[in-house]
Amino acid sequence: MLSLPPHVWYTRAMKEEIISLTKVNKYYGHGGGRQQVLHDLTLTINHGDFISIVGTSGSGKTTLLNIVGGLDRRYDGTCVVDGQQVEKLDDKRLARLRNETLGFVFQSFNLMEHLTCWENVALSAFFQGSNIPQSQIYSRAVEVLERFGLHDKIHSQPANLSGGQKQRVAIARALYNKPKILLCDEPTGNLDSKTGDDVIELFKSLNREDGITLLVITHEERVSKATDRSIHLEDGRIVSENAEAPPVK
Amino acid sequence: MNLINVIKLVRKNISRNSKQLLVASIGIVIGLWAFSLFLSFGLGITNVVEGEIFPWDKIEVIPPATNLEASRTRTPVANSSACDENDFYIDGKPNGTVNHDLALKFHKKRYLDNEVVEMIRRRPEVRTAYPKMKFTFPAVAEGGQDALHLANPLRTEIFADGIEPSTLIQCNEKETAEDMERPREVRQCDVYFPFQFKDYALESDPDEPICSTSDDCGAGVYCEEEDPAKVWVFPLNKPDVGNLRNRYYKYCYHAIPVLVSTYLLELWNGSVAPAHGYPKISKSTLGTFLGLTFDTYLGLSMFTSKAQTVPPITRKFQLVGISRKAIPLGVTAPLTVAARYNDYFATRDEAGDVLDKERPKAETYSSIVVRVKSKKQITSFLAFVKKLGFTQEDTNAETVGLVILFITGILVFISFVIVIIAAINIANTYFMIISERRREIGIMRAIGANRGDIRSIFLAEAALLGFLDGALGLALGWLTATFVDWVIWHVVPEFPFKPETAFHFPLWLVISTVIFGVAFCVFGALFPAYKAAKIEPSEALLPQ
Repeated sequence: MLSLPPHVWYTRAMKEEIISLTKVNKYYGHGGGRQQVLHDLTLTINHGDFISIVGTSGSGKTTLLNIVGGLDRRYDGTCVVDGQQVEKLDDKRLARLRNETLGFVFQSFNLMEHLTCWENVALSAFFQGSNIPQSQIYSRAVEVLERFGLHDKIHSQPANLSGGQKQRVAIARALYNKPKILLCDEPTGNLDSKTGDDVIELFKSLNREDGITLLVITHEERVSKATDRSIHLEDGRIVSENAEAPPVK
Repeated sequence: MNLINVIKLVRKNISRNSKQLLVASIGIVIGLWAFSLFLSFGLGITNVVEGEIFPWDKIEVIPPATNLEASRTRTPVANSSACDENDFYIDGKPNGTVNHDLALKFHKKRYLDNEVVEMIRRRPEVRTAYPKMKFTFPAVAEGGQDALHLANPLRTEIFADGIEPSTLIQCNEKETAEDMERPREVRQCDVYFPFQFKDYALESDPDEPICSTSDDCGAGVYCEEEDPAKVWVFPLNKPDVGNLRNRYYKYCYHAIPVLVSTYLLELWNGSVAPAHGYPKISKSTLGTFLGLTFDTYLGLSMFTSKAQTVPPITRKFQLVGISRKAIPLGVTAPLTVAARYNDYFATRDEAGDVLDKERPKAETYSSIVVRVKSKKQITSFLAFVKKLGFTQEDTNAETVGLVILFITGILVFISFVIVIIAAINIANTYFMIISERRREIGIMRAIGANRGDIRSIFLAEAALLGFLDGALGLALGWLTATFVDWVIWHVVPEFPFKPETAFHFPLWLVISTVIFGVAFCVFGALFPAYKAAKIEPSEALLPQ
């Protein structure tokens, strides 16, 4: 553990909470068709955790991720992310939380097809309140892309990339603003097993080297096995939790 | 989100949806094309009407249409200790403070003389004021045989008036070719070199040589029968009316200089010349017509055989210039010429004195032409004129102006309807675009865009589109105007007051067209943009 960067082992050692859900209930629909997706869900995630959430389709995984990510605020209960109670934040402050603290990686990559790779990566900088010089935005995007071996794709359109390259661009975009938490929804769902393994390795390194807290939704066992802790959701309830001590290198 | 980043995204978005937006923009472009074209046409025509046909700043003050005798019987208003020359009675009723003396004077006179001219000139609204005196007797002109290459001389009844020569710009040098190229409204000369507009009779030597033909007199001077009107005035001893026919001697007289109006010139070129096959008077041929003399029979009429109390007089009139100050249909001579002949032709009593009721005709002005300083001051000046008991000549300018305003208003309204319908089309297009970009909106929200950012992106996109549409509509409007002007000049036959351009594109019109383009596109995109901003990110990211 001492081989980890100081801020990583410090946060892990201190077990500081970064995400905390208390009695979260979520419903879809109205009236007679109303359906409860999450049932009194209580969950705590600490700094530097690498957690997977597994479960069948419709178990509430994505709903949970949307609540943690501040993408869905219509729920009962409390959700605290990085010390901020999500349901009490106004639109601007919530947008800032998503911009500065959170990073999203989606199954279908969700890249803007009309923008180049570097523009996709730098998109979050466009929504920052402060006036960052354009050259600085570009150099940071290039820096992130180069880290993921995409130095030759900086000015390419997403349509010209392979699935693995697209997901790396999407991860680069999520990491552009150096977030504390990375929320991933089936990140390997659209990738072949080799590329999927590469992405899992990438997540491991982000967690260990950069101390980023990762919350990964998956239905793939190899992904859940790679994480430190695996939470099994069933009909909106946590049915089992498999906690492992973080491997020490 | 700063402006550079917004523009960057907006530029990419517009190029991505260029086909959709191009189709949606057609309506806006057509509407703004119509708006700029119609409005510029209305302004252009107004310029012609107000600048050349009925100058906006020109007010012709005339005596009231009521009987002069009747007006004299009215009772003046009571005196007042406070004196303000601007306050007079209206129709015999006191109107605030009244200057008793002035009220009495004008109340009794009710006609225009030098005192009224001076009073008008002192008004703060007035730039210039000059009196006009109409010829109060008929006249027939004959001539133009050589200039118009006719077999017989042209003979026509003429109407005439007189104005002060000092109110005209008399050019002492020949106009250069460059001067002649300048638009009429900015050209300075009323009277052209080498002619002069003055009453030569005022400076003639009474002992001038008696002649038998014009050859005895020299250039520009003609041998004619003694002018009885001149004798009437100089010497002061009036001869017996019965002796006026006693014309045994001929004298050398200068031709009386006269001006014609630009209106008459336009009428000649547009209607008379084409109808009768006479040559047109253009800038280049103007010199041929200047100096043209024609015999004028003062006191004769082609319309009526009513005999004047005094014999008619034959004089030569000479065309010396073209002026906007000249009577529209007729000729304008120096004021003293009009005064002299009005006096001569006035009805007299047995003693040879002009009858009292004829006195105003002979001694007062028919109108006072006033140029006001600004449009805003017209109302206050007209109120003053009304207080004096006078009125203004109805030039129909107001009616024509209203008609133009009405037609322009309807056309502009139609163009607005087009633009509003187009804005609805823009709204529809944006609803479709937002539906297409729903997932993108979700992504942008996920990575940090707030509702305002989403709204800004769509509104900025619409604003840029509107700017391009406005510029395109304006450019098309200008091109159409240029084409129409070309057609007017090269295809349409001559007509009176044919304008050099029928359109006017002031800066405010250019700016407002572009602003309307932006405003209507933003208006169209407003509701879709708000709707886009309201989309919950979690819903936007759902697989479609």
